[in-house]
Amino acid sequence: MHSSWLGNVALLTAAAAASILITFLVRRPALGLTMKLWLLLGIGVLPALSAVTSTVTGMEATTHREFCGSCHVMAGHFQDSSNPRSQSLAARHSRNPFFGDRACYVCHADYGMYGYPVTKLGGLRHVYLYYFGGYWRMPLAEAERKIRLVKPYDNLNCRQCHTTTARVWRTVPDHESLRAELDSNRVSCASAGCHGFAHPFNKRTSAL
Amino acid sequence: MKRIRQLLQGSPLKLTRAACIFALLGLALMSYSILDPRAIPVIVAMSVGHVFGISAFLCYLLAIVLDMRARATGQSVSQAPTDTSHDSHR
Repeated sequence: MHSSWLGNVALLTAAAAASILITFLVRRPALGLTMKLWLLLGIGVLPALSAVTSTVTGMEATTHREFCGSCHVMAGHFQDSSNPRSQSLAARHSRNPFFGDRACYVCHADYGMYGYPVTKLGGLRHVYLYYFGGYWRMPLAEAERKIRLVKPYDNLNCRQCHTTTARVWRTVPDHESLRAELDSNRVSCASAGCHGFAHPFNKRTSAL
Repeated sequence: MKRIRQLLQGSPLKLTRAACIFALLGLALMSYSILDPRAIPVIVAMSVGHVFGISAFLCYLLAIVLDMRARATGQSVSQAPTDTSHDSHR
């Protein structure tokens, strides 16, 4: 659990609202003006504050690596990215403070104009597949063999940080010769022969 | 329609109690999602929890409107001693 001040505000406002509501239910006072105002606080104002802060906290929680790793089919990805000795792209990026605890989200989020809702809808699809698509009962070994990205990884995500316009990048012969392929995602930055797979542990040995 | 008619005929106190229970359920779901932020608790809090919260507030608003209407027509239904359902619990 990630403690945040917003989460604490949500819990405090929920506790304050609950104490007003339980007092009303137990004591059963008359519905006078004072009681109506207390109830406005307990049913309206405080729960609204709790809903907003818990929603923000919940959305924030969904960007954490522990959240992604909370489904057993992602255990291998989570362990590899958390392994301080792993040299996979995912692990190396996770050790970078910019990615850190939010490494899955930073690399896999859609960076388009509607990136945030699109990413969250994609996450809902993952939850649906986990509970209703059979992943829930799937052994980890089988999941690592079968579960793949729904579409090719967008090189644009790498280019959020690794600019392709700087001189150093352009002096690499492979970068220049593959520029069109990289732009159109026909060649992935995270592929064998380039920078290697982000999660190599679940790839066939022949592919490495 | 039948449910709505029943609600409109219900006493403000009953509606307010229902609002309190809905709100408590919603708050419980939202608090649990903070303490245990896994996929299902977070999704349930943001969907079912919010529905409970909105229902609670609507029940409360309806109770206030019914109470005001009753007061305007001279019936004091919101006072505890005249509320029979309330008295029967004592």
